[in-house]
Amino acid sequence: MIALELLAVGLWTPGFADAAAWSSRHVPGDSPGANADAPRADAPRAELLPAMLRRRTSLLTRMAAEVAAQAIAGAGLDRAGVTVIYGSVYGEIRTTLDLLEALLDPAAPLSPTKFHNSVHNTAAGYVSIAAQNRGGNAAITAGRSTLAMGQLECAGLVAAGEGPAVLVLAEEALPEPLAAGRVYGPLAAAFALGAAGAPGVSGAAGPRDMSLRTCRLRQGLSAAAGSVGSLPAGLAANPCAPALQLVEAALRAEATTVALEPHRERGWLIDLDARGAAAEAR
Amino acid sequence: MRPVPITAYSLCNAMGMTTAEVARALEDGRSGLGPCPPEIGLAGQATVGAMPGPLPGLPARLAAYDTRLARIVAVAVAELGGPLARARARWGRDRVAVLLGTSTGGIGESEQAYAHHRVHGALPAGYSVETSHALDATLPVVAALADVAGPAYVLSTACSSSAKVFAAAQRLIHLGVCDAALVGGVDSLCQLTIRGFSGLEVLSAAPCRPFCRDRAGINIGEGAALCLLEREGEGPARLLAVGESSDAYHMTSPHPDGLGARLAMERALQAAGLAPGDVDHINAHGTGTRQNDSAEGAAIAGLFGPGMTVVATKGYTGHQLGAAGATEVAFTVIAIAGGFVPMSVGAAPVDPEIAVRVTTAREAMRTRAAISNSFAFGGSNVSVLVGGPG
Repeated sequence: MIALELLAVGLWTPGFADAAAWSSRHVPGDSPGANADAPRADAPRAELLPAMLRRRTSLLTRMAAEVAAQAIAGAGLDRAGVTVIYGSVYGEIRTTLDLLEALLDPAAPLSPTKFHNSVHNTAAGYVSIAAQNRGGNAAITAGRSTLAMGQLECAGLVAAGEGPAVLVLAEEALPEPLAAGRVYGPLAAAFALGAAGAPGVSGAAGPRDMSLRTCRLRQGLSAAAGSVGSLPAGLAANPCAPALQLVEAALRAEATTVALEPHRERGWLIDLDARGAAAEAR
Repeated sequence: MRPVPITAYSLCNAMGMTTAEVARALEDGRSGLGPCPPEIGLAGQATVGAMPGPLPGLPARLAAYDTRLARIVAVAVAELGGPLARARARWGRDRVAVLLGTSTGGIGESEQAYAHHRVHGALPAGYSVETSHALDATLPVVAALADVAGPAYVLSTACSSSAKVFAAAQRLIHLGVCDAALVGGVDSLCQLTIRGFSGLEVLSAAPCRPFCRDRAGINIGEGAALCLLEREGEGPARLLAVGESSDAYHMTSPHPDGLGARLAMERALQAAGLAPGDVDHINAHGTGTRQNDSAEGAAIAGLFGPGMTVVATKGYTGHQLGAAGATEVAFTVIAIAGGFVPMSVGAAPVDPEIAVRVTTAREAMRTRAAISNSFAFGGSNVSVLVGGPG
C-alpha cells in the first residue's frame, strides 16, 4: 500500500472547462452538454502555452497543457519546478495520421514540424519550454492501465523525494481509418500528488495544508471498488476514462475506492479518504 | 536511493543478432551500418543500422502482436531465459516489472496498413491499432516471453526513452512495488523516422561520424537492449543513479551551451554522491550532427574538464532512437566488464573544436564509474551513471 496526498485535480473534455464545471452537472452520468447552464468549453484555453503555439499544436497538447496548469495552480505548485508525467495511449495520433498520409507520396518531403510534433512527449516538451521547467518529465503509456502505471510512476518520484508530481492523462479521439470503429470523445485529466502526511513548513503551505484528499494505492479486486456513477457514452470507451472516474470521486465528500484498471479482474485501486480527514487529523 | 545491480543484459542490433556478436564487434571496432533493406521501402536511399539477420516469428499465442518491433525485442528476451528464471524464483513473477522505451512502436506496420487501406479501402487482416500500432503493444509480448507480471509500462520520450526506464526502475524498486525490473528499449526501422529526420535535414547519406571534423548528420538504426535490474544480486555492473533534465529551450535543437545536458550529468553525480573526478569515461549521445555534438562536447568539457575520455557509439549502430539509451547503457556495461573503452567508429579526425578526448581506437581502462548520455526532442536529457560491480 502506498499513501499519497491528492493535492488538486484538473479536467477538460468538450463542454466542460474544468473539474468544477463537470461536478456541477445537473445529474451525475448525464451526457456532456446536457446541462445548459454549465460553463461551455469547446476548446481548451491552454493559456500556459504562448498564443502562437496554441494555434499550431494538437488538441492533445492543448488539453494536456490545460489540465496540467489547472492541477499545478490548484495545488499551489511552482510550474518551473514541478515534475509532470504525461500519460496517453495513442498520443499525437492525429498528427501521426497526417504523416502517414504524407508518406504515401514517395517524393514528398515530410513536414519537420509535424514530425517533431508526433512524438509521445510533444506536450512535455512544449510545456517545459513555456514554463521554463528544467526538471525531468516523462511521457508514458500502458494501454488501459496507463492511469494506474502513471500513479506508480508519480508515487516513485514522490518516494524518491522528487515530488510533488503532476500526472496528466490525455487522449484525443482516434481517427479513421486507424480507429476501425472505435468511437470516443477527447478527454484530459490531471492529478497533483504529494507525499502523504508531509506537514507544511511553518508559515508556508506544504503538501498537507493543500491536500484535497489523502489516498492509498493498492492492488485488489476491481469489483470491490465503489461505483462513482456511469460515464457518458461518448467517453466510456476513451482509454483514459478511469481518470474521469477518479476526478469524479475526488470531488465528492465521502470516502470511496476507484478501480484504476477496471478492465482487469484484479488490478490497482485507489482508496480516497473522506474529504477533510487530512485537515481534521492535523 | 541505493545502487541497483545489473545482473544480466542482452542486446541485438546492426552489429549482431546476439549479445556475444555485438560485444565482439564493439571490441573490434566493427560498424554494422549499411544500406537500407528493401522491406523498409527506401532501398538505396539511406545508410542505416538494420538487423543483420532474419527475425524469427512470435509464438502462436502472441500472433496478434506480431510486428517487426515485437520480433526484434523477442530476440533480446530469448537470451535472458536463465537470468529471468532465477529472478522469478527469487522474487516471484508478480514482483518483476517490465519498463520499456520505444519511439516508433509499431508505426512501420501502420505505414503498410495505411497504404493498404488507400488501395483496398480496408485495413489489412491482422492489423489492429491496439496490437500493431500502439507503443504499449510491446508490453504483453515482453511480459509473456519473460513470464513476469509486475508493473509494466512504456516510457516514450523520443531518443531518451530507454534511458528514462533506468530512472523509473530504480524508483519503483525503492518504492517497493517490485524487487526486479526488466528494463530496456526497442525501435524498428520505418519510413517515418528516416524521412522525418531527412525533413529536418540532419540525415547523412554516408555512415555517420560522431565528433568528427567532417561529421554530416545521423543514420537511423534499429535494435533492442534489455537489462535485468534486481534489488540485490551479483552482476557485471551496478546502476548507481540517473540524472534527468529538460532544456526548456527548443523542441529539436539542443541548448547551444549544453545547459540541459550538463544539468542531467550533474544530477546523476549528485544523486550518487560522486564528484566529476570519480567518473572515468562517458558514452556520449554523440549523434553526428554538428550542433548536437558541439553542445554535448561543451557540456562534458565544462563539467569534467577537457581531459575526459568520451566514446560515441552511433557509428556502430546508427541512432536507434527509442532503443539508443538502453543499448548504450549495455555498451557501457560491456566496456566496464571488459576493462576497455571502445573506439568511436568514424570519429577520426576528431573536430578540434570539441574540447574532450574522443577515443579513436580501443583503449584499455579500468572504469570505476561511467555515464551514458541520451538526449531527445522536447529537450529531454537523461544521464545514466553506471558503476563497476562494487
